[in-house]
Amino acid sequence: MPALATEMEKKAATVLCIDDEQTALHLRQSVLESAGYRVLTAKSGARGMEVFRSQSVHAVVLDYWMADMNGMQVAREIRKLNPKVPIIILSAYGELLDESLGIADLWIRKGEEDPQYLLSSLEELLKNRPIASQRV
Amino acid sequence: MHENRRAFQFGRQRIYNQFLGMASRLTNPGQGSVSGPDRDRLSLVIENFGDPVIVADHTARVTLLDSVSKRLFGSDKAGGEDGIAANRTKLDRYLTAFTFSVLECQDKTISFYDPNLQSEVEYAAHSIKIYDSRGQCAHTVTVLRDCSNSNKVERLQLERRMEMEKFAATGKLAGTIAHEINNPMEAIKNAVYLLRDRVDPASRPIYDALKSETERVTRIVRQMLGLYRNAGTFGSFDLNGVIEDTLTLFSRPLEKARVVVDKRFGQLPAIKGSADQFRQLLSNLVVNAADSMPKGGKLTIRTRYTQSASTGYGQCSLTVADTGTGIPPAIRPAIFDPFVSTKGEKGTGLGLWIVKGIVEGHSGRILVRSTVGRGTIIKIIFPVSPD
Repeated sequence: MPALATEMEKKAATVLCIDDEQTALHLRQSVLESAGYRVLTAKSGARGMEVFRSQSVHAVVLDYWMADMNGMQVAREIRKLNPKVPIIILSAYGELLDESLGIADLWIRKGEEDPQYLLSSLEELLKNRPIASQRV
Repeated sequence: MHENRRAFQFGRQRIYNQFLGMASRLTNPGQGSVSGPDRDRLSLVIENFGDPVIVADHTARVTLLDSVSKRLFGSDKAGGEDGIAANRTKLDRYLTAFTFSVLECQDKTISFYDPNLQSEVEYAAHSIKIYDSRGQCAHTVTVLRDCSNSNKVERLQLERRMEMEKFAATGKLAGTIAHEINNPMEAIKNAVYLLRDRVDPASRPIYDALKSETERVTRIVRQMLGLYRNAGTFGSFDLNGVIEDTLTLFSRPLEKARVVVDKRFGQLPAIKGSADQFRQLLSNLVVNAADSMPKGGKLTIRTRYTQSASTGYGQCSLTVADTGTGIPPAIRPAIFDPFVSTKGEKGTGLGLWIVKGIVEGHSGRILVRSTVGRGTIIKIIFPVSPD
């Protein structure tokens, strides 16, 4: 599978954003779109899984605290379907070390980092990872 | 010597009575003036008495201060701190009133500023007159008893426990608040980021203020979380290494601020504790030091280890000294409280509060010496157990 290395390919990458807070989700989507990504959004963990199963997704950015299932549960489900897709979990509670081993690629402390950090991390993860088509 | 040793066996109250007894024997008009061995014995007792002792002559001029009262009133050449000068004035007024009164002895409550505790301490002053062979007042002896002294150890322990409980509770609260703030903060930061290219020039200053104030909130929250986050990760680490790491992190800004770093590392054993917390502690101290030297200066970081030959227990000290502006006396008592800052809008007022929490978490203590215009020395001492 080809690595996503070039700027052109990055622009084409699709990011799935999952968060049950509408305002936060919308703003995060805009930030990602401003960097050239195609963004799919889901307002719950379950809905996020549906989108992930049905569409081609190159990376997932999801919130930890959601009403229906937490970010780790979603990440585990995604990992079952695809062991390689980059997953970034946003958490105001920082990293939950014991749970995160081998599941999320990166935890970002919500609110502490500038949006550029999310963008540069995402770019880095996509550069270093071969992408797989997620359609199952 | 004999007087002194025996006195020790009978406790403070006994010493006090013996001292006054000896003083009154010496005042017996038939015995003449205080001289020879008596005088030596008296000096010895005064020196080892433990409570402040002040001897003055018949004009109320102080002629002898023991080492404890020198701490309160300065040495013979008065001066130094404001608090000491004020003590001296108060003492002079007290002695004048007593010396020229008709009273033979007097008990009074009087408060003095304690430079170590940096607060006023209440004393019970007991004064007697010593008469010469003609029956005239030759000297006065005043003993100050710290009213709160009797239970000092228990009080200090209780205070420390309460402080720690308060700190733990505040830390937890700070963590919760910080988390609640961080959720909306992410949205706000994204919004600010998205607006960056869409602001018309007239509104630019407003946008810049929005951005910088948002960053300020982030700084506060980050510091609040800093103390909550790494609470559990205790291990064993190399303190000198942690200092090197931290200084490397700050090498560029320090260089830019024309701050010269002087490292004096001692040989240290592995320290038990949290390296992350020490990194945070050092960052806070280094940032404070650098901020206090806007025109450049010298930052000295020293580590030292000393070990007791008999018990094997040792202690490690970490000193961070700057040649900066110093801490104004008015805020000195509060520097370890949260939200107290000398830096105005630039500071969060959490730096030293966090330092204090970390030091207490490692069973250590902090000593601060600061002179306005000269600089600040912060020394942290913590125990190192053997093995």
